Amino acid sequence: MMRIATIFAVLMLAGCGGLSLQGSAPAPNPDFAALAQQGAPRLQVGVLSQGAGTQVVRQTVRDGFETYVSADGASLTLDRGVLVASRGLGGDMMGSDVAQSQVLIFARRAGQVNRFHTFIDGENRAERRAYVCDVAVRGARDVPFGDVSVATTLIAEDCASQTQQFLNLYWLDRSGRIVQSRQWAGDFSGVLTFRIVP
Amino acid sequence: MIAKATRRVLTAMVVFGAAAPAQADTLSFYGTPGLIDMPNAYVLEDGEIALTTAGFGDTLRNTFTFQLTPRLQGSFRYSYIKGFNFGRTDIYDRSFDVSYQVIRESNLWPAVSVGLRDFGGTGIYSSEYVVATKALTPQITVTGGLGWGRLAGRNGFGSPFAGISDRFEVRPDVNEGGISTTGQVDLGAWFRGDVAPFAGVSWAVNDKLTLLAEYSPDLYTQEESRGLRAVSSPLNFGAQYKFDNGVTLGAYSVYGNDLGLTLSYVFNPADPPVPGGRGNAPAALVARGSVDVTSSRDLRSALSRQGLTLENFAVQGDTARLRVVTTRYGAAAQALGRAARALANRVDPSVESFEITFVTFGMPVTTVTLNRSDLEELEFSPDNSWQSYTRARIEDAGAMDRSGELAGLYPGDNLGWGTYFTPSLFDPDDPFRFETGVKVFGSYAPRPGVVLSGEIRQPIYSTISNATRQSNSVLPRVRSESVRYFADENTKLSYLTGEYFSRPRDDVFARVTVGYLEQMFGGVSGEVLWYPIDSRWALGAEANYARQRDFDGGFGFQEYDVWTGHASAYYDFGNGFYGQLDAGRYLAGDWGATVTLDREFNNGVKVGAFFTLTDVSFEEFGEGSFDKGIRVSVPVSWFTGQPSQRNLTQVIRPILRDGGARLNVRNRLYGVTRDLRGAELSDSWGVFWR
Repeated sequence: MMRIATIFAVLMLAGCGGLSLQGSAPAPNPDFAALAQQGAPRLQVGVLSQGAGTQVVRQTVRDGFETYVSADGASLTLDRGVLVASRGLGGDMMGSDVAQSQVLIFARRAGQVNRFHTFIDGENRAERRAYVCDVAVRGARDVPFGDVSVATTLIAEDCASQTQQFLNLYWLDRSGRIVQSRQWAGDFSGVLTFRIVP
Repeated sequence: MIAKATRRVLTAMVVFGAAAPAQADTLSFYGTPGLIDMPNAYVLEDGEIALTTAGFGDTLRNTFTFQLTPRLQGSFRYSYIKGFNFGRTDIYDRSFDVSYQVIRESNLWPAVSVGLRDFGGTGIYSSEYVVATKALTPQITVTGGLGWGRLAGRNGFGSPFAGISDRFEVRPDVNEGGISTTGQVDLGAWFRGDVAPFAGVSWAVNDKLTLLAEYSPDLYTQEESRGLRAVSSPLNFGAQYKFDNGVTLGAYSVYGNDLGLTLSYVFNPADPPVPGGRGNAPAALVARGSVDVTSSRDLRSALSRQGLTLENFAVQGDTARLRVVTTRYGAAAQALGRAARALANRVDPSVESFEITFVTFGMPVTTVTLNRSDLEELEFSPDNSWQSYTRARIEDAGAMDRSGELAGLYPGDNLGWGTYFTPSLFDPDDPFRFETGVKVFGSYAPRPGVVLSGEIRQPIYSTISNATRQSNSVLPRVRSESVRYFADENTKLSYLTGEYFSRPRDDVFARVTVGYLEQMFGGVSGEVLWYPIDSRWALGAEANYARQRDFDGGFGFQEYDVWTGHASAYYDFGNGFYGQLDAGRYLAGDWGATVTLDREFNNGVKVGAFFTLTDVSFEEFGEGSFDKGIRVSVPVSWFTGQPSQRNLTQVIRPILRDGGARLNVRNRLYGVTRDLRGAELSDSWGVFWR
């Protein structure tokens, strides 16, 4: 429970900066303001290690891949709420196969799956990683969204490779939509938190 | 359950791995893995660079150490010894070291390294050693070794190799020939003469603090005989503390009568602060059905936001062809990925094939053909880097072709300004001089491949102009009077040239340059390069007529002129190692060859070394004996995480003289084409999707 409390603390602290982790400020994304003005769907995203966060707006949807952009020029791509790629966070997740995880998560079923990610390293090389994950159903949770409380099911996915280990959490509402999550984005960025902006 | 158990085993392996033999955590006064003044047998991590400043007594040593391969390490050192000439004058000394780890540490065996210290240079630090180091516990290591040369001071005994040959018994005086022999490789002295043992112990109290103690046989005989303080004890003690930011500070009791301090920083060029860079995400592909088909003008502005200049664009059937110049991304593969996505989001849904050609100086270099449906399939797929590479067709771009050229590109011009900073290193009167000022540059391209360009510089502040040292060269003074080009602070013409670039046939590039070629020479330069698209090899030939320019940086010329030129072979060894051999006639009319070896990281950091041997004798060449040096180049993007093609480059020559000097023509063909050819595209393909 402590961990979840931390996530909420992060979400509360969320400001309107960027996803910048370090280094000099990148160029702002010129499309961000326009998309926000058009009322494109938004997500509140936090970087757990930084205790900071920001809103990202959806720029494109293609074959179920939803790509959200941040004001400072990074992008995050989710497939039905599951993170599959980042661009411009640093140490980016270049591509993923999360199909097996998705099957269990959306069926709200426990089990063991494989997931695959490719990350960019400091020498511009794509490094493939395979993970074995245990998916578990943690039970019902009420998640507050402003004044309303949304009934959700909390699913946990505990993954490990030879050298890495991470825990992803997904809160699914009754319709099976992930309304809130914490997901690992790689060694460099660490854990990101996501929450739908109603 | 099986997975849980497997994971536990894996975790145990990781933990065990972390406790494996400790690597070099401490650097000595010489800036190489070691104790205090003594080396140990450890190495840095492959590719790491260590920068060290060490001061004690009258000595200050600044060392750059590079771990060239997992076992081979090279160092360049610039030392200052106060009052080295009997208190009358100080000395600045340049020295090179190499060491090789012969045996890696194992549970049974210690690590064993062999090192050559100051194997050229003036020989002040000339010594060789064999050293073994073993970690007794993860915290405590012991080191023992044998040293020759200056290390064979205290308790020296006869040469262990005397049985092999009498010549090992006596170490010749490497300074016999005086200053004129410095810089020669002292082959004849290595591992000759007496040897003496040295030893030490280090204790890593925790992650940050390490305590060190050593026994040093170095008596600082040369220093003492020149009036500097004598060594009163062979024992040195000290501690090193590593701060969170990676800087290590050390403090020591040295030779019984001095306090010593070291400051060092170790980093790995393979690990930039932000891997892959930050921000600047590409726009994701939109569904093909919702592509907003736009004119080439919109494509042009979309590409220019990615630092790509669109030169030609045409759609024919299901193929879109475009030619672009990349000005922002260091990795051509990243520029390619950007161009492909910008195109996919803007051309008619019926177009299936993209032919993207990189152009530089008007020369089409490489054409990459991509399938639009592959892009769509692979954008977020787990193996997208490799699969997109295998499905791409990479070919030589062939002849120049102006079809589909965008209106208004030619004739084109460009005018800009900036600041400049030119260092002048290692003058014994003042080892760091510089000139800084403002530069204005412009270019005019009447048609693709033809460039008229020039640059003028206005110095604002210069200390190079204080240089009073006269050249004593017996050769034509083609480089040794270089400081005279900085003598006054008048406006100077850096270059003013007409260049013509062309593609005479497949895999062949050509260049002709006429005018004020560089700061010190003007003339005519012609070059041809044969560079097959998927080859590790490239071969080139260059011929120049050059005449020395006036020192005032104006339009005038001096008497001296020369025909100079080289045949060049370039080879990509793989794993980031690149070799270059240039053979021919140099500026002073001397004949010879230059060997260059670079280690290059895919993120653009380069560390290299070169030397030139010509028919000029070591004696005629003068101090340094022959031309040699190292060069380091770091892309600005390495520090900032922002895309940029700018590099911070420094060539470090112990001394610049007249033998083995090459003309500095701008835009040599291998340099301008290599990053766009097949092997480089492939090496950085990981950022295609970045």
